Amino acid sequence: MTEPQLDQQLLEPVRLSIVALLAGTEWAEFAFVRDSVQLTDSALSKRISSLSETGHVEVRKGYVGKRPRTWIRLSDAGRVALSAHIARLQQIATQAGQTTARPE
Amino acid sequence: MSVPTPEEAQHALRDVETRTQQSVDGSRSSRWWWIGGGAAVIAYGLVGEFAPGFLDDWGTTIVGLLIVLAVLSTTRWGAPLLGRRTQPRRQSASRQVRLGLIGVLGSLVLMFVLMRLDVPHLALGVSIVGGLLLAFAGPWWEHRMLARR
Repeated sequence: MTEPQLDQQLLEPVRLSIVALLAGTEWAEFAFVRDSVQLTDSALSKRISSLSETGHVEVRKGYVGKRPRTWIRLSDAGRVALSAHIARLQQIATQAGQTTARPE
Repeated sequence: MSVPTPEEAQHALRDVETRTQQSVDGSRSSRWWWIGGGAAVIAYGLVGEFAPGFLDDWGTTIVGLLIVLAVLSTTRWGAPLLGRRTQPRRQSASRQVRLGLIGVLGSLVLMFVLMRLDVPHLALGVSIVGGLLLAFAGPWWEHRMLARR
């Protein structure tokens, strides 16, 4: 059985937050993600571009009435990467707990 | 690639948990939609009881509008018009079919039993109970379904 791998992109806490937030949704509005992770528009755009380049997220632009909207979706590859990343983090956290609990 | 320390890993896992909860909260409908829906169901029952002619003329149009609203709320363009900023992740198709079948069968059995009992003002009673259930238990049920995904 292969060991779950950490994902380089998700090692950065804010990018992990964004991806974890998107994991429970089919898609989310840019403004919802921005407000949830408390970033400025430009800071979020930068991170979304980075995640989009590596295929973690998909970005769609459109209009609701006359207002422009941006929607973000976690891709299937991003979902797989997040699951593996969380599994590896759990291993690290559990191993540390076992080490500290071991009697001398 | 740098490997996080156990403390960093625990911190990251806690953050993932927080974001998951945020995503559940963000996917919830406004409580007012549930209250409005419940009030509409009760109103429908009242109109059916006291002015059945109105429903003969407008019943199909009202049901059609409700279907359009329901479909609209599942689209990326329609959901913001209804005040939602995310679309919750869909459950697996088999689970959706199973839940749908249970709901339809349960409703049919309940309707059959109530019709056999020949209760007076049955439609009104059902609409009042259904409306109150929708208004008060709807938000709880939605949260439960979203949290279980």
